[in-house]
Amino acid sequence: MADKILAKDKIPEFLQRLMSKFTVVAPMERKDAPAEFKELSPGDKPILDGSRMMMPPKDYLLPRYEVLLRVRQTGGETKIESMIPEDKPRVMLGVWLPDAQAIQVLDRVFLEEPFKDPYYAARRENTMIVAVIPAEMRWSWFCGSTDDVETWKPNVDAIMYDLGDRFYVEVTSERGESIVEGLADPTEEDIAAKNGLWERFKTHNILPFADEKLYNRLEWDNSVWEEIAAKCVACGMCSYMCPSCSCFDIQDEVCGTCVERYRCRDTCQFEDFTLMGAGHNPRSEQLPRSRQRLMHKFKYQHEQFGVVGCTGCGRCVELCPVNVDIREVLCRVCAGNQPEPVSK
Amino acid sequence: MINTQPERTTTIANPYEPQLAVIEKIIDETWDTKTFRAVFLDEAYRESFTYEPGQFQIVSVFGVGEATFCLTSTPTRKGFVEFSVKRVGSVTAALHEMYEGQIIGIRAPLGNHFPYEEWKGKNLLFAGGGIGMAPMRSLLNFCLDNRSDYGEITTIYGARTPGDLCYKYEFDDWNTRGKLYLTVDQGDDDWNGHVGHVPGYLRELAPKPDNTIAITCGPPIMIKYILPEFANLGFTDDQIYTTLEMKMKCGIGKCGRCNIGSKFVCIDGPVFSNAQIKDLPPEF
Ligand SMILES: Cc1cc2nc3c(=O)[nH]c(=O)nc-3n(C[C@H](O)[C@H](O)[C@H](O)COP(=O)(O)OP(=O)(O)OC[C@H]3O[C@@H](n4cnc5c(N)ncnc54)[C@H](O)[C@@H]3O)c2cc1C
Ligand code: SF4
Ligand code: SF4
Ligand code: FES
Repeated sequence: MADKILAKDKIPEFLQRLMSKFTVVAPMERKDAPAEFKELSPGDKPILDGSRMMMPPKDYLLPRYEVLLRVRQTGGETKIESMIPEDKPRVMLGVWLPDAQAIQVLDRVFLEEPFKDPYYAARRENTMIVAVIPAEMRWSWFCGSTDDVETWKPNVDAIMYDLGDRFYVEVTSERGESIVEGLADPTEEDIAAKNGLWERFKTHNILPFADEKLYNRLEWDNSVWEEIAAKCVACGMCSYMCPSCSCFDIQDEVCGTCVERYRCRDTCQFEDFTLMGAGHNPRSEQLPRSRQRLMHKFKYQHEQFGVVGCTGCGRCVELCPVNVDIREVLCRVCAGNQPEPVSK
Repeated sequence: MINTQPERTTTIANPYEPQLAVIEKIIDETWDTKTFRAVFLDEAYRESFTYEPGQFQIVSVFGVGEATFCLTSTPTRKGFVEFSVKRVGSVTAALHEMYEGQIIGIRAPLGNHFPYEEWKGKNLLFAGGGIGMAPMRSLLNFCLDNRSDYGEITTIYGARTPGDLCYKYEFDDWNTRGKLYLTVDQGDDDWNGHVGHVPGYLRELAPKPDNTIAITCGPPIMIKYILPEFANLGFTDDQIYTTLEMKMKCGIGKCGRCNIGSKFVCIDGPVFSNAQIKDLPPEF
């Protein structure tokens, strides 16, 4: 598969060409709100360099709020309409590589048998993903500590490395070839620059737990759960913004003669997530809820699917209002009780 | 030419879309529990619909929401499904307000089932408390309808008071084609049966574990006390089966709510042997 170079001043033509064949989805600036993945219209100027996306790409594939069914009850008749989105060829551009890997986790949850989720499948199965490796690393990332990042490459269709005035486009799947058609070939210098950037990404923030099989190290009984739970205010930010957290709630809303059954984000960090009739709640305190989030990502999902549910994107590290730092927690799990210093 | 390669042609059924059904019959069981019999509107669907004892369904009251109930009817009796509803919250209350002839939605069958094929030739011992009788009733009636496949079929069923016992109209059958032992925590003037909790009654009756499978469902507190009693009688963990209850929304392993360790009660359960339960984190 031939790699190519995309000069940044050629992006408008590149987009135009893609948009003639695909629905192109990429991060777009919003007024007074962080940029978000959107379907592009002609002339749009998306952010392709991966300068960090706060809103994860899951928001496009699994919208924060989505109507599943519309039910109409008129004249004694009940009609149900499934609101499954259109299945059309799409390309997602500007997906930071760890976020693209997080989509692998979502794929396991939503596309694996025995039940396929038709809403997610319609947006996802016909979608190519073009990942990006930004030029600058951020302090909160610890991707290389969660997994062997080399194994992430074949899961996307192409990777764009930001080399300043140009992107180096590495084609990683056969269908990815169609994206780079017509682009220039790279020089030796381009290849060296790309390799250098990959090396910086790969070795960025390698923490003491990197070589540990975390799924073997996470224990049910560990004093660290108590410490997180004591700080956590159960705001749910860590799950809502996490690119791989996907738990949801389903509710009905009455709109005139029509009922909309929708789903929306939910999180194991909320007390009523597992609250049952007669008041029984298997995770009635914050400690088991804090434990659930970490054990689910690093142990249960690995047992279930063979993938780790955290890609080290650092969102929860940056956004937690009480500074629960997942990197510190994982260091503690592996290294006994001394907090490990991590770069801030 | 850009190649718009990936194509996907198969259409998938929508597991979130319920089938419409009409409430054909409502039985008042106790002060807080009613049993509903529902019939699918679509004739082709109704004809082809089948399920296994132990599976569950998710019932829609449109505009209020969905709630999970065991299929308490047996697949040996065709043409309808039944579920028993204890009134605890919004959907269950809305169901209690409904009347015969009204329309609901049903997603079914969901979950795994009791491995009754493996139990042929064995004795079956049911021990249930309260609404826990609902999932067991399906299996009990199924086995009674396939009577010659099984040895002794014994049921111990308890509730708080005589007025809290469900399915009274089937007691005669359960005690004719099998053996039924009833108990209540607290009797009344008309009650001359056994008084006491189910675990204690089990100890008194002391059934033998040989060639026997025990199925037990009930409130968490009953399960907690009954398991040691089974162990004392010599039942091993793979001779004891129960159903687990976790809060559910999707019923298809997606929403994450019913997760225990790497298992999901909605697709890996609700039926588990005690041996399987001991492999799970203690979180239910
Ligand atoms: C596999 C399975 C089988 C079940 N079988 C039966 C049955 O045969 N008969 C029966 O009466 N009930 C059964 N339940 C429990 C039943 O699903 C809940 O009582 C019902 O969903 C409550 O809905 P609601 O809208 O009335 O309550 P809500 O208004 O939603 O809530 C009222 C209370 O019920 C709790 N609750 C909500 N959903 C559930 C849930 N799925 N399970 C337990 N508590 C819940 C809430 O947290 C709250 O405390 C079963 C549950 C499961 C998971
Ligand atoms: S770092 Fe936090 S937000 Fe990012 S993938 Fe891991 S758990 Fe999710
Ligand atoms: S972001 Fe922090 S405070 Fe909020 S739920 Fe997560 S760990 Fe708790
Ligand atoms: S009920 Fe949604 S995952 Fe089990």
